[in-house]
Amino acid sequence: MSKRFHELIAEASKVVLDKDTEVRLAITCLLAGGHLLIEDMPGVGKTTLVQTLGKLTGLKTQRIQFTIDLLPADVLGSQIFNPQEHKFSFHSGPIFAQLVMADELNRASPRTQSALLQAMEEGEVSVDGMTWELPRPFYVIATQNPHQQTGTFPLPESQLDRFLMSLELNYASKGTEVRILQGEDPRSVVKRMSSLFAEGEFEAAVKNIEKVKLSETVATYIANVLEGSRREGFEGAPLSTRCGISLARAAKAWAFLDDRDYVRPEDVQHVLIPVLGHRLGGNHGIKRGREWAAVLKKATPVPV
Amino acid sequence: MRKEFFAQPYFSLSVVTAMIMVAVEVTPWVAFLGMGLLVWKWGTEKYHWQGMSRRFTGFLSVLLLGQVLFQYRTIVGQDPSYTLLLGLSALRVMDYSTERDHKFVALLGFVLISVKALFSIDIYWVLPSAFAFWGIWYSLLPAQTPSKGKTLWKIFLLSIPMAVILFFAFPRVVIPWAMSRGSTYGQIGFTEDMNPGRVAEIAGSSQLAFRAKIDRLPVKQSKDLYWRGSVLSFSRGLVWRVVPSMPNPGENIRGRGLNPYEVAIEPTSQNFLFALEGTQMLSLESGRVTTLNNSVYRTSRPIVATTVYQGWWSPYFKDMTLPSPNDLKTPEFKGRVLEWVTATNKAAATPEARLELLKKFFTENKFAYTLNPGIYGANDLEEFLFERRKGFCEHFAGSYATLARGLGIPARVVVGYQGGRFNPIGDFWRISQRDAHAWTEVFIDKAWRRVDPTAWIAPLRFEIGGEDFFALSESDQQAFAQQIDWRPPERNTSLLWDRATFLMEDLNYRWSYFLMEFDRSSQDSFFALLGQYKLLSIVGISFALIIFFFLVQNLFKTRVVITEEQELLKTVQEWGTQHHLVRPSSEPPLQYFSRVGRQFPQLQDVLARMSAYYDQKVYAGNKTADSLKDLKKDWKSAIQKKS
Repeated sequence: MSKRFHELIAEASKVVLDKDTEVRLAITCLLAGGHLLIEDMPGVGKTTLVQTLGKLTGLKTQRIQFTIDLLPADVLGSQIFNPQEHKFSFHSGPIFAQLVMADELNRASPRTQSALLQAMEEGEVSVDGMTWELPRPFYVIATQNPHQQTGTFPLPESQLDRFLMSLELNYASKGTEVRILQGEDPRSVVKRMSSLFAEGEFEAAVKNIEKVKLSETVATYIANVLEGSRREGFEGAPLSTRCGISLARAAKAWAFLDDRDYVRPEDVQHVLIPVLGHRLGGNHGIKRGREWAAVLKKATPVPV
Repeated sequence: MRKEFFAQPYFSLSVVTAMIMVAVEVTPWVAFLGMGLLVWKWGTEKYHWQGMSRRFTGFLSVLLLGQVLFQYRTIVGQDPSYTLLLGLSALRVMDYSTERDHKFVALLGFVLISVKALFSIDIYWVLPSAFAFWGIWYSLLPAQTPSKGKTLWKIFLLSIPMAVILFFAFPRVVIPWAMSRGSTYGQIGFTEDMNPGRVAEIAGSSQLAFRAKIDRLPVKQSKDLYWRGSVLSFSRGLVWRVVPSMPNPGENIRGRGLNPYEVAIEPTSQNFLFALEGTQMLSLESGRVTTLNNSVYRTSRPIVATTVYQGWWSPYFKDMTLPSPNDLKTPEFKGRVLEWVTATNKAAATPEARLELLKKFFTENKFAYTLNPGIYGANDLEEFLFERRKGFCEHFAGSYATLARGLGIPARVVVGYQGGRFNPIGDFWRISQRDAHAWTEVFIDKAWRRVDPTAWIAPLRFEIGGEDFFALSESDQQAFAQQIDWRPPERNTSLLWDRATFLMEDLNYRWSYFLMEFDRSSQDSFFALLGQYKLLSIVGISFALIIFFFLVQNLFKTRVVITEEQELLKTVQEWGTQHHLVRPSSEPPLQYFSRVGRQFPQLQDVLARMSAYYDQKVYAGNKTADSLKDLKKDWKSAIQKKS
């Protein structure tokens, strides 16, 4: 099963050059069934990564560009009166997809943000008292600009918590940039790609993640991490139990990608910064959060 | 934060225990009030009954103070203070809702326990006290204390040497200003007069009066044990009173051939010291005993705590003090009493013959021995002797002595205790209030001699002792009284219950005796003993201390059970540390193994196997092909190869 995922990583790395860890983390996030938040400057390959993933996994992809005047109805859809049938019918919005890319999420007004985030949490959309199920699996990969930029509405802490991971892509190195400039336009490469997965195969893999074994030692390690964040003197926001569950899930997915059916502390450490960064940072920003996560990682003893 | 009293089972149970311990000492109304308030509090917490406002409890406190003042006319003394303390504690529990209240109630709990300990050192209270103390202490430990129970044990164990040192260094002192028992306690116990019914009232209680060890005395039968408490010389027929007598300056020398015995008396807040008939002298702490000239002993200070004194008994001792004219005074005889006295005086000339006739009068007329003879009117002597003929020991003793005086023989009434119950396990006698008794002494042959008219009428009382006798029904008592040759049933001492009671009594006696006997002189002799064996005691004490600390250390050391995998990691870590490869605590073991392997390629193979072993065992939870033994062996040879 994980062989397919190795192909996925290899294929995606052909397009998103020199970002192996990030690609693998992004796939880990999807495999763990969580939403992904990417924070970075425009033009470093966020969209390309999402499009590549969408193509390769065969998930139905939609892109929503968030702007300050975007309304919830523009995202979710609305009831429209049909004069022929003399009744209202629902016109679904762009959110009705399996992989939704929410571009520059922090540009939208909090109202629109929360409409999206509510859909992420509940897996369904409510408009005018009617409820529509979203397709399964349902992923949101949101990108946001660094929050120091003007004209942004930072996501509140409670909503940050709905993303399983946060990633930074960073600028490519000089050598890589040379390769990108010389090579084919990534957009046309993506267009040519086809899905590696059969119908429902990806979803089945996600379900299998649950079966990865988490020993008491590793669970204790995760608990140590949570405890460490609550200790006096630690600067980051204290972590919730839900955060611990997310960490365990992500570690399981990472172990799965490593062809193992059990988790090692190393797996937890690999996903620790992406999973905790945005949660610890809170309104100090993801960058600070990642620094604190690194401190926490270094300070937390691994049970032996 | 709101706190609930009964939500903390240890704490609430402890406070309730402390309250119950004090409640048994106070007047019932306040005990009921306290328990009622506790139930109410329970209801408010569990079933949301209406609680009390602070203002209302404050009002009740004032009311309580008023009631105590009204009842006792003072708030000083044991009974009023116990009452007040218990009532206020219950009201405070009623208020309980904050952390501050918790501290306050805990403090009250400690006060209740220590107050109880001040007044009763019975072994029965040790366990509940310890429990209550424990529970309150437990609740006071900070919430984040790890393993509270263990911490408490540790504190407790560590405090033992301190307690032992304090016990030996500061002996028990009798505080002269100790709280008096207060007025209610006099209900059981002696006074200086004898109204008909007074002794009967005392005998209505089975409470412990005193305990005595007389194993070195030749008298060993219950019926021979007469504990003299007071001599009454002023007669008004059945009613007798003490005539104050002068202290006897007679010689207080512990003569040869005197047999010592010991009495441990319960607090009476009075001055009576009960002494066996034939006691030549009593000794308590220096200068505390006064001997009155009728061989009666008193203390100079009331007995407010359990006290031990020694008596010196001689089989030849006789009270030979000459009777005073006082000892012949009688009330004016009238009617049938006057007739009988005149007739008897005419019929016999010698005192012996007159006493014989007097005895005949009591044995041949059908007198009945009963605790409830009814009340005698103004002409009580005649009514008792010639009409109803029902009475208790004091009726017989009182009327006998009055009649003897009428016959010209000096006589007096003695009150005290008779008999007791022998505890074969502890070898001591337990004398309870049931054994309260009154008898007579007449001056014949130049000495005072005991005559006990009650023994003629109810011999069974003396055969089986007061305790058992009063347990029988009144009709039984009379039936037995009429059959003179009736034998008491053999007591089956192997009965389990009896044995258990005796054992408990004995244990309690030893315990309280040990605690209260350790006074200045015991301390002196103890230290003298230590001084004698200076080296030995120093070695012994240090040895005991070492063993003690060793025990404490071992009991509370958190024993770390190390698993095989941990042992493996430890081996590598120890070696690595020697070679400047320290594992930071945040480095996963497998990473560490491979890091060491990279540094020392010759170890790579065995480290890889170790890594796999660790991985499979700890994270995957699988069995492994490799065994720990092999790995350790290979590891050893690998590191040796390197060097």
